[in-house]
Amino acid sequence: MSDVEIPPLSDQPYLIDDPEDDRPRLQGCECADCGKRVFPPVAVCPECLGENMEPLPLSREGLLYSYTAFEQGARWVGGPYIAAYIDMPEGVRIFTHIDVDDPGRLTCDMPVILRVTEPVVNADGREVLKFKFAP
Amino acid sequence: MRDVSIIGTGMMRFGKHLDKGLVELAWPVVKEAIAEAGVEKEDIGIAFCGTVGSAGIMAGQSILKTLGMTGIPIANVEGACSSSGIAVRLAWMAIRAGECDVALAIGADKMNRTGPRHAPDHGEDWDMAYGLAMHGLYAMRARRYMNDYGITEEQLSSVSVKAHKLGAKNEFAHIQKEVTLEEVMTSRMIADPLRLWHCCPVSDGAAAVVLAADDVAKKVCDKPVKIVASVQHSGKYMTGFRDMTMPEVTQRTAKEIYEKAGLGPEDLDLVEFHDAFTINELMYADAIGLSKPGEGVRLLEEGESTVGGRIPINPSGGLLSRGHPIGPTGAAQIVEVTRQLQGRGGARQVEGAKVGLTHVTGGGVSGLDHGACTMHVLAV
Repeated sequence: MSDVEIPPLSDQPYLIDDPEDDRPRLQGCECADCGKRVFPPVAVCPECLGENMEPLPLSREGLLYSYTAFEQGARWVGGPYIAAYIDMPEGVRIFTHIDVDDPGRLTCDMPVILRVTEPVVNADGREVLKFKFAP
Repeated sequence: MRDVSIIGTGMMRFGKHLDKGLVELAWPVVKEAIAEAGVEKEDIGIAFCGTVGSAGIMAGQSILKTLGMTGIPIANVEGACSSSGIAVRLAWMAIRAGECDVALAIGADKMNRTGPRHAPDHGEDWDMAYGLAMHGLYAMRARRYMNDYGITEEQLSSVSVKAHKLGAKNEFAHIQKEVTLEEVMTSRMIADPLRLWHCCPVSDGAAAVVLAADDVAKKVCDKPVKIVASVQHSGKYMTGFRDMTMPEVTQRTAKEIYEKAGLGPEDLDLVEFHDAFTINELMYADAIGLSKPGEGVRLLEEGESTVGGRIPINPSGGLLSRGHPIGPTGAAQIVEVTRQLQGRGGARQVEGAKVGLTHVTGGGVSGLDHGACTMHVLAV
């Protein structure tokens, strides 16, 4: 498993510098034909099969749906780390990591905010994740 | 379409079998299942082998050539933890379709060779690539379930105590010992709130089932077990919010199998379901309709879900005790329920059992509750 390369998970960028305030922002996509929203951006709409997916900038704040503090994580990532699902106001759910010293501070449904820190690097020195969320 | 029954079963003790290869593990259970079925090996018209490929490709052919059984159609089936549940279903479909009268389903894997394989490891799946191992997925479900329904760590831990109490009586279980509540609650944390004793062990093993058209089954078998219904689905892809305390693929598969079998959860005498982690027993009891949402814990606390109770859940000790070699898990559940319905449950026999249900999900894929879910209703 450790020799698995992590390919780009999207043909289009999912972490962009917002030209309006020069801060990073996540970006999903929205189908111009049926309105389906997907994160990370995809080339084809899983709903209507249209190929007119347009960039959808996402809010920086979302709600913590659930989380776990991995003592023993996926072996291709290493650990420990805190993983979570974040529900975004745009209606997409994102799997990511949480940047917090004490996981005891976390509760379901609390607001969390995008934080672009040093990339998460696995045991092989490869970049795994470019962003986290934090309370 | 023709009715189909199970006429032979083969099972071994799951565990850490580092000294044996996959073929060595699997051929004895296939031989046992054929001997029990009372048919000749030449009567088998098709074979399906459920495996996640822990021994590479062509597992079915490698196992069956050892018994001189190649020359027939053999297909290797991958559906993560659901692999051999799907293999049994495909064997059932082949007989119903008239392809043959007798079919074989095997499950075989060695998780101690590869480490657990239960999700896309091609690197293109977002959740997996970024570190969502299966124990973390269930940990997040547990967190949300405990949050929504006020379940305590003590209640969650009680599932493990019950499972191992039953597993201690199962000669096929990987772990054949009881654990105390304190042992569970103080064991090493794996993914909060799941501790070591909240997780199934990493196992190797094999199981096999021989199926036959009813007219053949009646001739060769004293007590065939009828497959009343068989349903398999994949999870729906949802990019938005979904309720992780109520996995839609299990709920949907359960609803359909009750309709097809013409019965409901109240008609079941026992259930073997996918308790890879303690939270599963509470969550799946709800999803399968054995309890109202959030009330799965009541079955446990009122003693209804153990042997002697109203609806025994995992009399074998489940995946938590029997172990979870991934590929053979679904077939092992079907072996257990078949033998229970034949009155061969030994020290863990559910007295007078006539109708049983098996349920096995499979695989974590981003946006899907599970990659697969396979259920069977068996009856005598």
